[in-house]
Parts: sequence; structure tokens; C-alpha cells
Amino acid sequence: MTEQGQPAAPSPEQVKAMLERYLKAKVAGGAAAAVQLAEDVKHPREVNEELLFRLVDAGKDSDFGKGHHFDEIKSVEDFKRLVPLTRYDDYAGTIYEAMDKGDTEAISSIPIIHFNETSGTMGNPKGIPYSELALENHNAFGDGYLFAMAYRKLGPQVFSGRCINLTQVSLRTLKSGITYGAFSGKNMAQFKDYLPLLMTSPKEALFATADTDTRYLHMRYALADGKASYINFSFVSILLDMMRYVEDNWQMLVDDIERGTISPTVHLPASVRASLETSLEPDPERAAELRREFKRGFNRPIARRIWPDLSFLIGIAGAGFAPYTERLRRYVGFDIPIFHFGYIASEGLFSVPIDFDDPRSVLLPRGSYYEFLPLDEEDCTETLGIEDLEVGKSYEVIVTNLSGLFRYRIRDSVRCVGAYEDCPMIEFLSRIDQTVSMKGEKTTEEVLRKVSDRVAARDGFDLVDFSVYPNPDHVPARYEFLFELYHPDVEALDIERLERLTTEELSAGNPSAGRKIESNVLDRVKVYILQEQTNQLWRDLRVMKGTSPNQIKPVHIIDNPMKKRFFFELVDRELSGEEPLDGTRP
Amino acid sequence: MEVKEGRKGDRLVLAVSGRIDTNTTPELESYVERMPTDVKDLVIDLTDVQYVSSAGLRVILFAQKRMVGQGTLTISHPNEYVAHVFEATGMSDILTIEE
Repeated sequence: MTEQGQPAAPSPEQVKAMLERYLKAKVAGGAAAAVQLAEDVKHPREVNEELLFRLVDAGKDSDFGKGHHFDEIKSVEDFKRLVPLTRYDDYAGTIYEAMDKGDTEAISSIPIIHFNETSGTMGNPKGIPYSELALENHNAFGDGYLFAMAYRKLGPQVFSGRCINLTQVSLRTLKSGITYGAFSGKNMAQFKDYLPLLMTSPKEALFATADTDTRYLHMRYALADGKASYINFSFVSILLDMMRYVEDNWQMLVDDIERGTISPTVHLPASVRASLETSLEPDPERAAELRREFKRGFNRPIARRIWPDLSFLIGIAGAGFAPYTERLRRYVGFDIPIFHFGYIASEGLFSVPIDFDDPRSVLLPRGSYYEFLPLDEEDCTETLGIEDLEVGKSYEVIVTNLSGLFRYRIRDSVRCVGAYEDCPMIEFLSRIDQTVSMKGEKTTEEVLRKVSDRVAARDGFDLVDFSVYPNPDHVPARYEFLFELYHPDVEALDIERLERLTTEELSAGNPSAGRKIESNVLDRVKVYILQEQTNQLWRDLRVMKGTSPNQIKPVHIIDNPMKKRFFFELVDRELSGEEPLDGTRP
Repeated sequence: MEVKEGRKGDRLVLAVSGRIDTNTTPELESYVERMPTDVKDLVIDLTDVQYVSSAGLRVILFAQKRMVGQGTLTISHPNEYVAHVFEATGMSDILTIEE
């Protein structure tokens, strides 16, 4: 195994022994979790209700539990009668105090060991408590179960090499002594010194500061290792971005590997550069392998040509991210299986996949106590239990989680897509609030994504990302799509054609919107083209302002004035057929 | 796009003229990359810049990151249009801009 850029590089024997120990422990733990799950899914309601009473008991002395008479709860009916559906604001004061002063027993008697920084998709970042019990659940099913399944289905060789881990985490310790940030960061920080044995990326990329070019570091070190086994990412859009970066910059990356250098054009803090450069060595042999393959082009999937031992990809790649997965096929082909994460959020891990290349996942009866509200019954206030879900129907998820949140409206929607024994299988759909409905047409983010993807396929452009602004001020109101294209063919762009295609696809994707367009209740779709790198600039700015890179999701619905100003300011007015603002355009 | 470099003590002024867009950004970026580490006061003078694209904004953001721990970055004299871009994108929250 090539070892570049890491101080005190371990010997191949040390790496092998370390990997074997790590793998053995993970696989054993995961196999036990799988046995437990196989039993639980036969009677999910009982397991789930048993968990509820354990959580109620653990919460009876908390601020929330005392305020809602947890000591009187003897049945599920009592629980639903005494505890209202809740939102973050119901806990905000207690959480703030706990983060500030460390009084976590006010949240739950189950020790709170961390506060997750939420993605901030719907507003400012918040702290979500994370307990020891949630950690146990995550270790068993977030890592172990998945490791065990990969080992069982693909054989022990799947872990013969290191992981290309593309996550980037931020973690800080609050004055109360409790950590705050992405939970994955807390896990990784615990074995920071061993990361080079397990992952190709240096810790300077995994725990990067805002002024570090992490795309370069992740991919330079990944390319240097020809024996990497699998790729781990948070969102598949990040992996796609990395592969595009390699396609655009492979010569520089390969030159650096050949010479054992870091190009001076790469943005790095001086101290990081100095630290990494001292341990880099030239690797002309690997560089020649890479150069040969890259020169053959990217028309044939490149991944296995440069990483022949690559066994699988793992991360969030289904539902809303499916269009990015399709685009990723250009680089990874169809013969490298994708292991989809289950339904995972700052509030916990709620489901796990049952096979490769299958975005469906089975609810974990010990992952949380679940309630559901049907999305197609607006006035329904009576929640359903884990045993009540119907295949094909969509639901809002309400959790009583392992970390002190009760009947918590997480604002996510899922669809029931089957059953595993007696336990529902689900697909994550979207955030509840990420729906456009100017005239009652209710277009979900999922539909908007499919519309964008279909338009890209029909028009033949490579879509970097899209945003939609529901413009209620236009008469009549209209959907405005903002597309960012990857190296657009300026000559071939025809905005009127794009608007026609987008209108057609929106009408097909949401017939209600289609009828309203036909009857002029809504106007036809307007399309704008964004300047190249706009979405990357959005990410850069969020990181610069302190958001963890792993938590930054694409802005698919422009739902506040700040986002509106940002994206509309960066419309490429020439490509969009608009008048220039600066007076200098031809 | 053209860049004129002026050094006085630990102050470096990059006077840019023209358009900072996807095509011209690499040139400005190379100036920022090769900036000596003893520069404490970097000024990007935009008096003669008519247009800054997303790619250009990313380079300015890069310059800002580069100066963290090294000194300060000042963006000077952006025209009305460019100043508006900084404001609308939220760049003005993290940049020091001299009108």
C-alpha cells in the first residue's frame, strides 16, 4: 500500500494487522446487530413500544418529561394524550443550557455525549442532542451492520485496501466540555492517529480548515493509492464533484504524484503544506499508470481503471440524490455496487439497507419510537404506528428518539415501499418544507429534481445543479428554474427550447401544476442559466461562515430572500437571454 | 483582464482592470497564489473592473482565506455594479470593502 503524506508511515505489515483487527471487530459487531434486527422485524410493534417506555422512563426527570407528566404514562394512548407533537423550539431553552453549562440530565437521564450541528437546511444551525444510546445504535447499524454485509456479500477482499473517505468534518468542544459538530467527526477524532491506516486522505483533508483545498487533497492522496478498496461519501453529489475535478485536473494531480510535490497552485495554509510536503515521496510508477489511463480518456468509466480493487461505494445516493448517481455512472460504470446509507439524520439512525444497489431500507425498531402522519390526508392529526404503514403511501415522520426528543416533528417525509418480514421498508423522500405550492399544486423537491434531470437528458447538457424560485409576484405566478451547467456549449443553448422542455416536464411530473399552467393559473416556466461555479461559491461561502462542509446541501428551492438575492445575482444574463446589468456585455 | 502589481513595504496592491470571469480568473488566481508570505496588507483594486463572475468571487474568497493569519485583505473601489454583487451574495459580510 502506497503511503504518502503521512508522518511515521506504517509498514505494510502494520497496516495489514491493523486493518484485520479493525475489520474483525466491526464485522463481528455488525453480524450480531443483523441477528438482532432479523428477530426484531418479526414483531416490530412490540419492540418499538418496549423502546418507547424505556425512553419515557429515561425522560421522566427531564425538563420536558416533568412538564408533560411522564410519570403518568402507562400506555401508548397515555403517551399520545399527554405529549403533544413537538418542534425544536420546545427544547431550545433546555438544549441551550445543556450546551452552555453541561446540564444534560435536563434533557435525558441517558448520558448526552455530543450535540449534532444540524445542516441548517431550514434555518440557522442548531444543536441536536446525541446520547450514548444513539452512539450504540450507530456503531451497531451505522458502521458494523454495513461492514458485515459488505464482508458477507463481497468477500473479505473488500477491505484489503484503504477507504477513500471523502467526508470533511468539523468538531469543536463547547465550554461545557461537550463536543459540537458533525457526529462523524467525533467518531473519526477518536482514532485520528490511526486514520492513515484506514483511509487514503490525510487528516488535513478530513479535519480541514476553511482555507484548505480539500478536493485536491482528497483526490491527490486517493489517486496515489492504487489499492483503495471502497469509497465513502456523505452525499453522492460530493463524489461526483470530486470525479469531475479529477477529469479537469488530472495532469496536475499526476505530475504531483510523480514528483512527490503539491502544486503551488493548490490553496493550502502554509503550515499544512509544509507538514504534508515533508513526508511526500515521488512515485513515478503510479503516476505512469494513472497517466496512461487518463490519456485514454473518460468515455469508458475511469474508476476501476485507476483503482482495480474498488469493491463498492457507500453513502447517500438515492431519492433526491439519484440524479447525481446517474451522472456518476460516467465515472464508475454499473459494475461497482453502491451501498446506500439508510435513513439517517442529526436526530438518529432510523433505517438500514438490506442489499447493495437498493435505495430501500428497513426501519430499525430499536432506532427510535416512530409515529407517522399520512401526507395525503391534510386534516389527519391521529398518528400511525410502525405497523400501520401502507405500501405506496407517503408519510411525515415523527420520532421519539434515543436522545431526549419526544414526538418530534423532524419534518422529513418517507414513502413506504415494502416490508421486510413485518417491518416497513421505506425510501426517504424529502424535507416536508421543501415543497412548492403557489396555487395548491404541491410540487415536491423530488419532482423538481426529476424535472431538471429529464430536461438535462432531453437537451443533452451536463447539469451541475439546479434551483427553483417560486415567483408569486409574476402575473400569473410561475416556476423559475436556475440551471448551472458543466462546461456549457454556449452555441447550442436555446433558452426558449429549455423553457418549453421544462414546462413539459413539470406538467408531466406534477399533473396538478400542468393543469394550472394549461388554464393559465400558473405561467409557463422561466429558465435562467447560472454562472459557472455558482453552486461551488455558495458552498465556499457557507464553509467560510462556519458551516460544516458535510452538512451543506444544494439549494433546490429558493425559499428566502437571502438565497434569492444570491442566486439571481449570479445568473449568467447573456446565456439566459437577459439584458446585461454592467453595460459591458456584447 | 489585466493585473498590475505594486509593492510597497509589506503592502501589495493588485490593480485589476477588465472583466473577472471564468476565462480570466486563473490569471488573477496566479497572482494571489504566488503572493509572498511577508505581505501583510493585500489590496485588490477593482476601480477599473466592470464585471465579476462567480468564478471571480471564488478567487477573491481564496485571497481572503489566504490572508487569514497572514494579514488583511482590502477590496478597494468596486464600481456600483460590482459592489452590488458583493452585497447580494453576502461576500460583503466577510470582506473589507473600501468604497
